[in-house]
Amino acid sequence: MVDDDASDASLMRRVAGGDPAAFDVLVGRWRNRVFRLALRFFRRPEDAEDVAQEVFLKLYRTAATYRSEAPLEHFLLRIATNTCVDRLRESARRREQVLSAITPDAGAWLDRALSGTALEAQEAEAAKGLAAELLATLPPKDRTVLVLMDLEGRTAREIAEVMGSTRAAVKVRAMRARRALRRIARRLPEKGRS
Amino acid sequence: MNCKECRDELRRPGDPSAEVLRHTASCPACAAESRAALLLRLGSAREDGAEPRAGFEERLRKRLLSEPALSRSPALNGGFERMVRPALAVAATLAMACAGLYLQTAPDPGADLVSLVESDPVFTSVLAGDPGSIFGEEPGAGATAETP
Repeated sequence: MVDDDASDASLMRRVAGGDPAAFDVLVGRWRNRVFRLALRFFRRPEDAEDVAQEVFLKLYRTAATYRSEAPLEHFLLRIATNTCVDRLRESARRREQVLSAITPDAGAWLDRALSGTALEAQEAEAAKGLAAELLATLPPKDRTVLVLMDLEGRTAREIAEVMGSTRAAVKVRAMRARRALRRIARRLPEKGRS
Repeated sequence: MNCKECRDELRRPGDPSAEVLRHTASCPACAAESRAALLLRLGSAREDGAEPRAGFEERLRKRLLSEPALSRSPALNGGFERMVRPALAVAATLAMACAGLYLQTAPDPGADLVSLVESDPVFTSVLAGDPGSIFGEEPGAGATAETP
């Protein structure tokens, strides 16, 4: 029997020893957070779920390397970000290709959305889809840093630890990604008119 | 609100305040920053209470079992130290104990060889100085036949 209130560290020790019940408790405890993080990068719930499952498979495989001095959340976040970055690399898009494929309607909807104008449900959904495609043109690590920092509220130090980087490098990535987003956003009005 | 305060707020989770909206309406640089921030939010949007589909754990368990490397995971993810090495030590000790026990209780292999030599007619005749038995001849017959 596994105590549902058992600490993450004790559960991880049991997982490392091959205890599937302890693994189930950990999955139940963390699955929503991992899934929601994956949804930031992958719009289709099936894709986000696939990524979340891969994260837990990696957690199982590497359970013995977990050191209980660090919170499991950091260990899990490191696995999750690495998995997302790897998947984003596989589905990377070229910016010029995406920009040239924007239809005038979608360009106009996204431009209006970015100006704070309310859209109809269908238009809003199309604008979100286009925005996701445009984000897919950012370098995966830059995008991950920006999502963790601006949407998940993580500090540069936390992100540096998770990504095996330095605070300075994280800040440079964030700055570079924001600059790229500003450039993309600036080009949208012309796409909406073409 | 100045530009730094505006940008700091734009980079925090949550919707921008009315003060930020007022500032961006009059500041083109911060307006561009606001559009970039909105692009990020739109492209990374998700429902707050989103959860994986029902049966997530079952599907995960199936994947876990379907990957051979994972079903043996304790031996692979550091379990070698904890499980395989002690198991090998126990197996080696048992093998040595069995070998010792066998050597103590097994019959002397030399005794079998002695009984074979004593009971075999060929060995007996060779040892008696009559090699004719090797060719199926009667003892002593070969010697007389070859006499000219």
